[in-house]
Amino acid sequence: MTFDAVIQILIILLTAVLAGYAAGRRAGLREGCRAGLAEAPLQLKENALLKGECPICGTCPPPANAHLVSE
Amino acid sequence: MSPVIFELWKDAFSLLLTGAAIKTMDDSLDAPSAPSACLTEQPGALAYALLFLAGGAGLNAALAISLFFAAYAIGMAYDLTEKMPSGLYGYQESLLVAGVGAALFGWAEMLGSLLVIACIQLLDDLRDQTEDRLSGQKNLARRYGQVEIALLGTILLLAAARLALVKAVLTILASLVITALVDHYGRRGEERRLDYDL
Repeated sequence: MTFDAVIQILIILLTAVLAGYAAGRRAGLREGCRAGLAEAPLQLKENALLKGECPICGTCPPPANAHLVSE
Repeated sequence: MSPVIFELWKDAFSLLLTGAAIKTMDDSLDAPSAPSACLTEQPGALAYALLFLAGGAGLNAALAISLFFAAYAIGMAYDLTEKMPSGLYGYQESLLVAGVGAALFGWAEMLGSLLVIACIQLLDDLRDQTEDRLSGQKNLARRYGQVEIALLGTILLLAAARLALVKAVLTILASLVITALVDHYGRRGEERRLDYDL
């Protein structure tokens, strides 16, 4: 096999890898975005109900006995 | 010294001088108003760029000028829709310069130069991601992804090697030497300037 033939095969292989990787990564990013958007409201509700975390600003109210702890 | 080795050294020096010219022009265009400790970024550096290019062309005209044309065409292609001082758009200047290069030196010489310069440009983008993010410059690695750009750079390098192996290898080596020199002297000059300021 000549040097030119080896180079040609490598170019074709790498082009195929590039096309597959680029398409797969972009599809994965879109899929991840959709999954994140579907998951986010549920996660926010769960945090609000279980931890009392505000879904807008993310802060938690101080515990009821906070003044006792600081004293 | 055998004639083949002599020709190789001549080509290598021609490439080093042309690379220095391209780097000097590129840096002085990027930061024309910011005097730097590094030679390539100083306001009057364009005169040195012309001197380096003349030296490179004196050693091997086809090699030096086709690479310089390719660097200009690739550089302008980064600003595709921007109007240049000539009144043409970036892509029009790129096509014109590549066409003139192909007419003067043959399509194989010009295509080889375009491929190897595009490969160096992609490697540069991979290296300068952080700096370009801070300065807001266009960077293909940030836009399309590191792996994609690394693969594309390798494909372009292989295609350049298929057209002209010695030219591709020597050009990549020359670009590495110039980048190392600019980094070294740029950093040393910067340290000296900081010492002076303190």
